[in-house]
Amino acid sequence: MKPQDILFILVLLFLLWKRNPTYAIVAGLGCLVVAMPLFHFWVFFTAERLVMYSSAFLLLAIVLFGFDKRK
Amino acid sequence: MKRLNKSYIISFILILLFLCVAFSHIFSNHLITGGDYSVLSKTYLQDVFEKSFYAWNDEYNLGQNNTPFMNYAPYRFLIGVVGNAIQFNGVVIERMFWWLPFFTLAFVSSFYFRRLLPIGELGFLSTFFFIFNSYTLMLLGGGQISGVGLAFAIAPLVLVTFIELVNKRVLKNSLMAGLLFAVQVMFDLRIAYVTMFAVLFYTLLNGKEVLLKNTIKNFLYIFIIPAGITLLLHAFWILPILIFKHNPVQQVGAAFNSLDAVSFFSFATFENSLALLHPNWPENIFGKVGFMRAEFLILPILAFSSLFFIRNEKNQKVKKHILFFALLGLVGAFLAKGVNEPFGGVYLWMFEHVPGFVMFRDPTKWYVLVVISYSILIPYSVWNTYIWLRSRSRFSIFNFQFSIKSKIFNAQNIFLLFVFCYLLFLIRPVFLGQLGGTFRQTEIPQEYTDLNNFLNDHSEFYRTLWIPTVQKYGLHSSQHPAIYGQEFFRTSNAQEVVKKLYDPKTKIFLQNAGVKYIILPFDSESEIFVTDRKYDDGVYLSVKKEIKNIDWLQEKKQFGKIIIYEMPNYKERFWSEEKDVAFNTRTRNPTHYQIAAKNGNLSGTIIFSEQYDHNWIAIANGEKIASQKHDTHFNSFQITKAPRTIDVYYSPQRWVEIGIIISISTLVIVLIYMIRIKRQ
Repeated sequence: MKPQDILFILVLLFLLWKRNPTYAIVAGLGCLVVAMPLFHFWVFFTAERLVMYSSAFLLLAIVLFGFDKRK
Repeated sequence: MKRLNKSYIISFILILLFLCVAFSHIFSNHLITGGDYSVLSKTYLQDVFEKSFYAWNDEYNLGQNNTPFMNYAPYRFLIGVVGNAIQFNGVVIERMFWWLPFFTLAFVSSFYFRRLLPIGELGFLSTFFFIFNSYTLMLLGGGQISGVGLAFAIAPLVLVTFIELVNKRVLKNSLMAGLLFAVQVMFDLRIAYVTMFAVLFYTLLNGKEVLLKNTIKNFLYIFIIPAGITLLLHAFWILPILIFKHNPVQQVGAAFNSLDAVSFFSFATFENSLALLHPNWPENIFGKVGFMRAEFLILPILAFSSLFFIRNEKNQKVKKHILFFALLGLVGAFLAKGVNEPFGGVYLWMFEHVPGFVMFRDPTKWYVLVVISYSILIPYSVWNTYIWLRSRSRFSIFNFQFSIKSKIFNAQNIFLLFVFCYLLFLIRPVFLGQLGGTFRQTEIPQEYTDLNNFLNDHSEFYRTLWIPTVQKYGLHSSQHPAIYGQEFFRTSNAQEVVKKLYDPKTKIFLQNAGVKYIILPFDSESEIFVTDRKYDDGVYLSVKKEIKNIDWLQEKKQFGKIIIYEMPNYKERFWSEEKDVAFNTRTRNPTHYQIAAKNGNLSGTIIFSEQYDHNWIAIANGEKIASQKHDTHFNSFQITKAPRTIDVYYSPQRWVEIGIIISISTLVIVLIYMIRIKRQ
């Protein structure tokens, strides 16, 4: 497991604890924003990971919104 | 309302302008070629006109069962009928039946998104994005407009119709959804499958509403009626497949449905698919995957920003649609990357276990979901950001108060301009003329015109064998079927094909198959003789040298770099192993031949040099004779009662004809019913 993955799990746990979809969207879009310069400078491994994390955060946001809607 | 109409007209003109610039070559009087695009030659169009609804395709190799590929037959037939009326003018036909319908459908279809989400005056952005993104442009550039392209263009319309059906389950909507889905299936089965996947997904998300109350009635309206209409409208090819238990997957072979093929074709990475960047953008060279371009990541940022606006949205349906399309985008991106990370094993598992998934050895077809998702989410995000900026005409930076009163130079318009310029920047290769394929104007080389004239001058039946494979402009017809060397000998190497010819058995086989000419093509499109995806004259010359060493081949004619070699003693479509036996053959159509002996009665074994298929039958004096395999490839019939003539049929054709009656009847009934409902 790489340091990026540990950081991702920590952020994910925080988001799950908070259950605020807006935070998850910010985290998801934030990952994409950070990935952009990394792709530009060919730091592919971290950039690729960030894209994966972003989709996980966005998925979490959608799920949280889904639960929100049902309430 | 007037203002809205005015803005639509302006945006319509704007998109039209971009289309004219990007696709300016459509206005020329040349045939458009490139990629998988079929060259609409006069011979091709004549064949289309005469042979759309036949269960056997006799134009390629030794012929094959055509039923799994007949979904496009009604459109082919229509092309043939109009083609016949305008003297088979391919230039007009391809514009009339492919390019114009594509843009019309894409325009109308994507405009339907406005029914699902409030995107205000930015409806045109949906259309613009739907057409001008790297996936659509690569699809068009790769010459896939005739089938996949048209199915893709109609996909938003089909999806919106089904979404409306899920929300309002009435017969009228069911019939409309069924008709539209049948049209999409006609264009391409895979894109129809992708669209239905999205529909199923939407239905499951509405589980509480659809699945828990009146489940059977809901299923009837949402799935059974539309599926029933589609099946009945496509009865002409589905019926023979069902009755003869023909497995289309087996026919295409392991190269198309093995797990290795899926791994090979998974060109897109997850960042590519999420950023809607086609892996081959912009060169569109098969297998050449470019590096990730950072600027494309703004697209998912724009699309998923739409989630920010959910909280303020009061309309529950709109909320639901945003969540659905956001999820659809993520799922589409996940599937479009195929076996690549993350969780690549999921795609392999689905490929093996999910019915119908075997059609997706090329996972990029799932980009369709990403395009649909972003085409609706991006305009929604941009529109809401625009409104948000408009509501904040006053703002402060470090306690300095600013107020923008200009109607034109304000934050919201600058933002809109930025988005538009950004989208144009992404697809700049279109406007800079850097895209190949159908974006580039090419002319049919004179060598191929001369070759095709030469081949057509000899009206008797014979086959041609192309080494290593048939070139795009090469002739293939029922009377002169073309054998694709590499495909037929199951090799990807040009020299390997020539080596096969050194085997004396191959010579006998080719004579028996009716091969009169062996053709070494001129690779005008740099697609055949390539090394590292670039044309290599050395490969051409080495193949030429190898062919020269074959003593039984005589060089017959040369047109530029095209060399024609003649086979000695080639046979006709029907022949006998007995000496001095010759036949008069009358070809009624690709599925029916009448054979008579030139002298006396028929007897012994008659060999029919089409690919062996046990569904070929001969009828002699009212008695059915089953086909038996001859020499690993051909059909043969044992004639015992010495008839004067025999009829050879491909039996699935009867069910094609029954299917046509069912399809036409269904269409008439559905249309009459819909007209009645509308009048009420």
